[in-house]
Amino acid sequence: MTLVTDDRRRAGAHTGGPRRSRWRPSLSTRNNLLSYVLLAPSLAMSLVFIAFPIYMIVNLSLRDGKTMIMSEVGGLPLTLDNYDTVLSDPETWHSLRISAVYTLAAVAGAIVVGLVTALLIRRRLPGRRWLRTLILIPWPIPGSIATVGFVWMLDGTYGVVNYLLRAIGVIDENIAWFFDPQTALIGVLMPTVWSAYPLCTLMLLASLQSVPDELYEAAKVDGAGPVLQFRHVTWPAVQNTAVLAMIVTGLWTFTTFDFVYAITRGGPDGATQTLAVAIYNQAFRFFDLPHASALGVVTMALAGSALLALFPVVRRRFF
Amino acid sequence: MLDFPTWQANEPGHGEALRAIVEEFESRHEGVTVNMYPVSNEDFQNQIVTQLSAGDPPDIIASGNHFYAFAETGQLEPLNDRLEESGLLDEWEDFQQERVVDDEHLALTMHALTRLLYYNEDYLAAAGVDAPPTSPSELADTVEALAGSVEEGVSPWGATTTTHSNLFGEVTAFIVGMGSQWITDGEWSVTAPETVEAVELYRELARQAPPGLDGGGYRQLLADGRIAMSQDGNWVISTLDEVSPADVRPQLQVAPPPFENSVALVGTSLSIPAGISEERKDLVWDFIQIAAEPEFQGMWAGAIDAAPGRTGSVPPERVQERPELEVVAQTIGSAQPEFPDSANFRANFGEIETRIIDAMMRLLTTDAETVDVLTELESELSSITEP
Repeated sequence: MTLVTDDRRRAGAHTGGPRRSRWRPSLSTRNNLLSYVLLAPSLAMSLVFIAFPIYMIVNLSLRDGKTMIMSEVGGLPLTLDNYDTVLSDPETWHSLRISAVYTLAAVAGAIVVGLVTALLIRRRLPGRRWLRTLILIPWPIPGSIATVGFVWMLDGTYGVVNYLLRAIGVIDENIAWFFDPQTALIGVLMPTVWSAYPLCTLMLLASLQSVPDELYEAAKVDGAGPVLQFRHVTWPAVQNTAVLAMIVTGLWTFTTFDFVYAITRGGPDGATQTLAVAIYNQAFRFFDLPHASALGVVTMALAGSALLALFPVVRRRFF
Repeated sequence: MLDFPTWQANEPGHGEALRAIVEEFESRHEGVTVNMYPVSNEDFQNQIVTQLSAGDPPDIIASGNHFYAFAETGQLEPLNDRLEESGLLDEWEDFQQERVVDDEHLALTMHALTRLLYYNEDYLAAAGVDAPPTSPSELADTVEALAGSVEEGVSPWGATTTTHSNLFGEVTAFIVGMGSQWITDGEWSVTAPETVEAVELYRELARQAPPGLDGGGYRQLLADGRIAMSQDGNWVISTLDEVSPADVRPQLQVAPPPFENSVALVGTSLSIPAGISEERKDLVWDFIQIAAEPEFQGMWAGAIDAAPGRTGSVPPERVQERPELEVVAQTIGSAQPEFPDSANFRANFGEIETRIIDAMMRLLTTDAETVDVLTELESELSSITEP
């Protein structure tokens, strides 16, 4: 505002005076310039922390040869062979399949648990405040700590989960969750869902709290039971938020690395080798950064394509 | 301050010896401290390779099997001149050659390790077995007898049964023990009859082990009396001393592995990174020289029941009070190297190890024919590198 006032004053001071030959930017140009100056720090940070790493990854993915020394990358010849290798490698598609199953299952689990807990918290139960805190506890707990807890609980020899499942008659013999390729992914999904659902709970709870109680009372008067109330009152109110929660949780899960690597390292025999784990293995176990970078670029392209495909849905619901 | 990350900082035996060396170094270098801190073994290689490659390495580089990955970065300082000047090589065991790459000594080995047979003598007696097995067929028979006699909650055999680097060492001990190697006469020998036979036995036994456990997991069960027999490193003896209950420890015994050959592993080695100042390099060399002194060689090797790098460093009284050391010495004396004589194998060890671990997990978790899995493994290994 001060800028505009000063500008007008200066403009007035010259009214009627000799016209200056020096070029003088217009007010809107100067305001635009100021905007860019103010944006410059954020732009610079974005370039350093987002654009430069992406440039480095793309650059590395086009290099022929193994190196871990960044100063040597420029000396390696350019090639498209890494993409050829990545795209023709059955392991890439196996990892993509594992990533897809892992992401879809984690999203479904997190949404279901998030919705149930949100509905629970919304009810006027005694100790509701404590319950809210308790339900949100998994959110700030670091993945590594959650991993230790779940590995212990799911241990095939002395784990409490097996004990409980045996006690209620679901299983007769202990399940070695992380040993059997059939159950390893389920074992890894448990801590993932546990860590992801609080965000869904918070988002869905915010939507639920905007639903007036009168709607439920009217539904009851019309003879609707809990199922019909959920279908015709609750779900329409939260479905937009649920879609957003699914997208956010899906993106987070797709790139999740800590749970999977810390628990199974992608095993047994690749049963839990998501794309994130495959990239890590290529980079830090096989020390093949160009291959890892090509896999990373392919993963980025896949995630970007999925987002583009979802964009019409998001735009229809939110914009 | 010298940075010294190691996976052994808190391991029984290793930790005490390393702290003693650090204290001695600090007492001789006023104003210089050593920041020794633990890094998990599974993450150690990645962290150090990344630091070496970035030109920002820690000052003291310890390594076990990680050595080959570290050497591959080209960022380890050759020690030839310093070793020659100090005369250490004249007093060092031959396994120092395992740390020579292109005629350059890139690390000094502190000790050699081997694998031993651990058994609970009460369970063997209950199974009607008088003495620990001394051949592969006796081993198979003993585990079968144990499977029929041990009570519920006790497993006849212990092994790594999850995706973990221990799997490589465990199956290699069977393969080398039964007269083969991953590479023989310059060719991959993954499907050689001796290798297949060894892997078959390994698989048969590992299927009797509790599923989903890494080395730490099954060692704890052995210490608790819930595993009757296993093959493991000699350094586990001191772990058992520390964690085994008083009523179980006396029953746990060691014997040489029941194979034609035993395996020698180079234990901890110490290196100087190339990317630090000359002053720091000199300090690190001082540290290595202290670790190489007879007193500390004897202390370290004695604490983990290993064969010291410096010949004859373990005092006779320690051998007398620790009968297991005799078994270790006897085993290491005739041991074969764990790694095949192949520069390519060492240079690509990370990927080769991962493929072998995956193949072993496939053998443990599926009914696929052993020879089929090994044929596929050989094909994968061939695509990684020439033997």
